Amino acid sequence: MFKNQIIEERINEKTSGDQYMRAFVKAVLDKTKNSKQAVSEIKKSVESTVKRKSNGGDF
Amino acid sequence: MRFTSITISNYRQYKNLTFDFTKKRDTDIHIIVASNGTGKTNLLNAINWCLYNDEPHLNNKDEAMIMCNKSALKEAKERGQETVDVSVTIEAETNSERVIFCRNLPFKALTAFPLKSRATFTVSIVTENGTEPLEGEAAQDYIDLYLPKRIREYFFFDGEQLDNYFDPQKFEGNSSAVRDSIHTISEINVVTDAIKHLKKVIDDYRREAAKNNPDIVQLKNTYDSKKLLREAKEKEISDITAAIAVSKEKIEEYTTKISSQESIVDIDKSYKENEAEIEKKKTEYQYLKFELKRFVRKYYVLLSTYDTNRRVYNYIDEKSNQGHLPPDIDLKLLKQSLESHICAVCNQGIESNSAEHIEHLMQKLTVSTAVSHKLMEIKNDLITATEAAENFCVEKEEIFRKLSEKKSEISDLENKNLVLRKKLSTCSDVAEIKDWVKKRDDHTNLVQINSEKLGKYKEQVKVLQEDEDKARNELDKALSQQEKGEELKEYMQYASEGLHVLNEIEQEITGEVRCKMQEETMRVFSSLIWKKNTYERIELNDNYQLHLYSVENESCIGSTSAAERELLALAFTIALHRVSGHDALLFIDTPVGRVSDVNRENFAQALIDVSRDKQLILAFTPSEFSAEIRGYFNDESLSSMVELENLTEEETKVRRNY
Repeated sequence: MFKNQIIEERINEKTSGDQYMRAFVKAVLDKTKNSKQAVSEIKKSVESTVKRKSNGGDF
Repeated sequence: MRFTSITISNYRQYKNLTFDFTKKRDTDIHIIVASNGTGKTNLLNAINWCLYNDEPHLNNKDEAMIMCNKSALKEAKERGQETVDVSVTIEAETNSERVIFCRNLPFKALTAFPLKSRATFTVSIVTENGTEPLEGEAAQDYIDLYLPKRIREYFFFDGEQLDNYFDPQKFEGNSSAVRDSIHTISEINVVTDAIKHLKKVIDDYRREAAKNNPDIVQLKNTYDSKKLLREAKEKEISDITAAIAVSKEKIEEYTTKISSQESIVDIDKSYKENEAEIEKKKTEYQYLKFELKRFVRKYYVLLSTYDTNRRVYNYIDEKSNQGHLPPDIDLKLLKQSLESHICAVCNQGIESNSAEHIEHLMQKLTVSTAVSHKLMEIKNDLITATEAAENFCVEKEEIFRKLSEKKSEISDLENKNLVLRKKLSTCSDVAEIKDWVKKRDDHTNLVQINSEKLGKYKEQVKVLQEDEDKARNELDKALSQQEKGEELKEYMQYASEGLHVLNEIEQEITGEVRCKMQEETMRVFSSLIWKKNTYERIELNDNYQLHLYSVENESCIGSTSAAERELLALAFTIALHRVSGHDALLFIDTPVGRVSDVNRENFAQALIDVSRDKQLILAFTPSEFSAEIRGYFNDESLSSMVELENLTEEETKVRRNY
C-alpha cells in the first residue's frame, strides 16, 4: 500500500491485536490517498467498522 | 517509474532526436555527454515541458528564443507547410504498466506563432489489456502519483542550481516547502491529510450529535399529559356512551312496560282534562246564573212599569204629533207686546183687557212649556224602557238557552268522566305507569343531551389525539435522535481512537523519516567525499533545513566547498529516494561540475550503488565526464551513453551512441 514501508510497519505495530482498527486506519489512509470524497468515504468506513465490530462480524 | 525513451521533435535545438534508456545491466545508468550550448539543460526543459508544461531551466523566460526549432520552421516555410508540430514524447514504465506521456504544440510556419488552442497532452497507460488514454485532470493526477510537480527538483536534479536545495527561501518560495516535499515523497502527507480528514469527520459527528440532544424528559412529560387528557376524555365518552346505552335500555324497558298500559295514561289524561273542563264550565254556568239574576231584576222593573210607560209615551207622542208639545205661541213675543202695548204680530195697540188676557196666557204658557220640555225629555227614556221590556222574551230565551247548554255540556263531561273513571278503576296503579312514562321521558331527554355531549367530546378527542400524536412523534423523533446521538458517540469514539493511532504514527514516522534522512544523507555524503574525519553528523530541523556538524560538533555548512555542498545536495536527494521508497528515476544535470578528483570517483561509486534499484540519467559536460568518472561509468556499468554535438547553431545531433 505504501512505498514508505515505515508507515506500513507503524500501522501494524500500533494496531497489533485489533484487526478492526488496523483495517480502519488503512482504509482512512487509502481513502485519503485515492478518493476525492475522502471525508464522506471515511465516514462510511467509521460507520461500517463500528457496526461490524458491534455485530462481531468480519473486519 | 523509469523512462525507457524520450523522443523530441522540433523542440528548440532538438529537431528530431530519440534517447533510448533501455536497461541493459544490473545497474540502470544512462549517460548523456554534451558540450555547453548543445542542449543538455534543454533536455531537462523538454522533460519538464512534456510533464508540467513549463520550462523552469530557462535563464530568462521572457527573452528566450521561440520553442519551435528554427530550422524546422524554415524548411516548413520552404515546403509551404502551414504548421510545424513541436512534441516531446516520454515513454516510461512502472512495475505493472507502460506509460506514454506526449505533449504537442503546433506553431504557424510563417509567423512562428504557437497555436495554443490546438495544443494536446495525453497520458496513455499501456497494459496487457490494452491502452487507456488519460486527459486533463486524470492525466495530471497520474503524473502527481509518480512525479509530483512540487517536488520535481528531487527527480530532475540540476547540479548548477544546487544552492536552492539548502535555501528554503529559494525553494518554491516558502520555508516549509522542503519539509512539505519530503512529507509528500515519503507519504507522511497522506497520514497528515488522513488526520485532517478524520478530525473533520469527528467534528461533523460532534456537530451532528449536538443537534441530536433533545430534552427527552420534557417531551415525555408533554406526551404523557396529552395522553392523559385524551384518555380522560375518552373515559368520559365511554361513560356517556354507557349512559346512553343504559338510557336506551331503560327507554326500551319502560316502553315495553307502558306499551300495554299506554291507553290508561291517555284515559287518565283525558279524565283530568275533563275534570278541568267541568270546573271551567261550572264557573261559566254560575256566571250565567248571576246574569239571570241581573236579568230578572232588570225586567222586574221594566215589566212592572211597562203599561204606564207605554201609556205616557203614547200620550206624549200623540201630543207631540198634534203640535202641542211644545205650544205654538212665543212667550217672548207676548212679553214684548205686553210691555210695549203694541202687538208684536199685527202692530196694533193693546187694550187693557187684552193685556190681562196676555198676562193670563203668559202665566199658563209658562207652566205648559216646562211640562212640555220635561215630557219631551223623558220620551226617549220611555221608548228605551218600553222597547227593552218588549225584548224580554228574546233575552229570556237566550239566557235560558245558554244556561241549558252549559248545564248540558257539564252533564256530558260528567258522563264522560263517569265512563273514564270506570275504566281507570280497572287499572292497578296509574301513578306507577305515570312514573314509568316520566322516567322514559327523562331517559329520552338524557339520551338527547348525552348524544350532543358525545358528538362534542368526540370532536375534542380528535383534537386531543392529534396533539398526542404530534407529541408522540416529537418524542419518537427525539428518542431516535437520542439513539442516533448514542450511535454518533460510538462513531466519534472510534474515529478518535483511529485519530490517536494516526497521530502517533505521524509523530513517529515524521521523527523517524527525519532521523533516517539524517543518517542516510550522512552515510551517502560520507561515501561521496574524500574527507572521512571532518564531518560527523547531519541534523535536519522541522523544515528539513540541513545542518552539517564537524567532529568538533560545530555547525559548518557555511565553510564547506561548492563541491561539498553539491555532494551534500546529491546525498540528500539520494537519501530522500531511499528513505521514502519513492518509485521514480533521478535525472542529474551537471552532477559533478564543481567536483574533482577523489570526490568524483566517490560520486561515481555512490551512484553505481544507487542505480541498482533506481534509474539514473546523468547529463555531463565533456570536461565533467573526466577520466575519474569514465573509470567507473564504463561498458560494465552503463546501460546507455550518448554524445551530443551541434550540427549547426540551430540543431543538435547524436555524435556517438554507445
